Amino acid sequence: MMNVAIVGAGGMGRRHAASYRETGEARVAAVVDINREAAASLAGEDARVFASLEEALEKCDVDIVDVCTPTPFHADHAVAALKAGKHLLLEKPMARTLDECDAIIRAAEESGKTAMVAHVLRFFPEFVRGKEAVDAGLVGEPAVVRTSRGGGMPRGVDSWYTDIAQSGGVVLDLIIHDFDWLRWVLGPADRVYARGLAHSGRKGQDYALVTIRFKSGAIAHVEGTWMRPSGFETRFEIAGTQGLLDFSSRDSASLRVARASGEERRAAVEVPESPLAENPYTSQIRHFLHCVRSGEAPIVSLQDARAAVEIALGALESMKTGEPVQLRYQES
Amino acid sequence: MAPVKIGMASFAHMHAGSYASSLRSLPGAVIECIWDADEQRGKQMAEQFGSRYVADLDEFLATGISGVVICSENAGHRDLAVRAARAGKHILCEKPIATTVEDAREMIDAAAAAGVHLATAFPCRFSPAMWQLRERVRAGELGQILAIAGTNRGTMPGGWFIELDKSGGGAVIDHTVHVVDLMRWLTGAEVRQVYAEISNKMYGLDFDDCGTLTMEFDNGMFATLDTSWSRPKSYPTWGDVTMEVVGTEGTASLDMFNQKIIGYNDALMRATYHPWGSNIDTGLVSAFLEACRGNFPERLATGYDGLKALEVALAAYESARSGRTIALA
Repeated sequence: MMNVAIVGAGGMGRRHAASYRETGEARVAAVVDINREAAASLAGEDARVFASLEEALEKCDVDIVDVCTPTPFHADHAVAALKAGKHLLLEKPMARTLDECDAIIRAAEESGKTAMVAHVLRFFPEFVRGKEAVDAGLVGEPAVVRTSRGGGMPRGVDSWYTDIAQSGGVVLDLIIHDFDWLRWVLGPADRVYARGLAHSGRKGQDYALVTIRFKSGAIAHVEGTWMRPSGFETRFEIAGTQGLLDFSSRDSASLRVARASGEERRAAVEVPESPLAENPYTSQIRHFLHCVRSGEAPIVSLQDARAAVEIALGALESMKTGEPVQLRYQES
Repeated sequence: MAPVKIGMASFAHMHAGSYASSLRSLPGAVIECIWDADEQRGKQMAEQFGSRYVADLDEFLATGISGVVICSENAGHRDLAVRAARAGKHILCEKPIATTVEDAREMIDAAAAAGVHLATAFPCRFSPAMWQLRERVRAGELGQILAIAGTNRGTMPGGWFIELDKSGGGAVIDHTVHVVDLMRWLTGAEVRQVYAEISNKMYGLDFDDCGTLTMEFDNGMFATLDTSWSRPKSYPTWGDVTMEVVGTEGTASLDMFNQKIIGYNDALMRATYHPWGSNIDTGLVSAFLEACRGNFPERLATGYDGLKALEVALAAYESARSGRTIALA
């Protein structure tokens, strides 16, 4: 049984903690958060609560540090964990800047420990099947690809998501998932062009349309939204020389529950769901624990995670300059 | 009221058949005659639509028709339109209005000089869903429109559509203009900047088959448009017209041809869509008949509208050539 310190007791910290428990292979030994109440609530009776990672590393013997803090804190926590000789699972995006990504990569190389960024799409079965179908030649050579992701604005401590300087908005926080998946499916990216609301000064609203040209010649269009009142939805379409793949989370939901409410017994909301035997977050943590034990390389390398950040930062820069941004470090 | 006499000038574009069917279904119209550079096709269409074939264009224009529907290859639009205008005929011209800005301007000027109406065939304006979307956007239901993600994807049509001297381009010129027109018509805004990624990756030949445009409008709104001929032969339908409209107060998703029944057939070994939505071509042709009677309906696109949409498609090609964002005047 491995011991884990969770850093950041927000929604994702809770999700990761639950997944460690579900694997039965690790226990959450420490929870770190400056909000002691949040940390204590997540820690329950099993884990110790700390206000800083430094203190946790000093007083608690853990094997793994799992960083789920807001993005601007990723690099400091990740580097501290690696320098202390711990294995690292780091929530996406890897960091807020490429320099911070590089610092994490250096620390990982020096420590020799397992380090992975939680690009969880690689464990979502619909996105895995999509990749497998392309690899099996179902669409021939992919030529034009579209993805869409988003719902309402996420809630975070001090509304940090709404602050582009901290979160990078919908581009760095949300559709980074698609950037990583697209690189996984299509290979290295060449250039990026984007328009969006990131620099518009609209608090609490963000929307982006990003076009990526891949080195293979494929064109991908990525829609990211925190302005979809109809609820969270993901879509992808891959059109190629021999065929086409089409996916919508809404259209493929396996369960819809509509609860009657009010005197007229009308449905208040209908929530489409797609339950799975194992939550993809748990599959991800199972993979990470396997890599820690075996020393195998994680499915997402730190270079992959950095390349996804480069696309996102390129998109944000393109929105500022109005011109395409050439991506330099994309070889996988 | 006497029926409006219409002449059909060329059936090179497949939409001509649908316009002719619509004209036949309308009590206010008669297909007086058909001209076509391809005599065999012209005669065949005359027979199919109960009309008569006239081989000579001057003779065709002298038959007493009020309006001409032009469905030739794109590069042939200008000559036909200019001659029809000089003969005093109202014109409904298939999109794209022309293959160059100069040709489009010449057509617009010729119509203005002759005092005839020049309409561009943008039938999507006659989609009831599109109409309702426009009414609701104009009523402010979505607040201020910030962005639109559009698609007009299709099947590679082959034929003269991929002969660049006749078509003026591949997927981008074919599929940019419909949705750009809808975006302009929906918001009243004009495109100020265009960037495009264009490729021939689908077929690897000398025509473009994949395109994604990004546009900025003069009201600050941005939009993208996928113009690709990306539907495989096994796809259940020809393609689509969609728009995801994002406003400060809400979003709207238009999927213009989603009114369909899904069919499965063992002989075809693929699913097929059977549309049951209202026929937008009939709406377009009806509006053109109105124009021929002297009242140009607001919903009908003008030659100028055709030009504005064409400018965006041509800017997209220029952007792809230069790798830069292209500014429109």
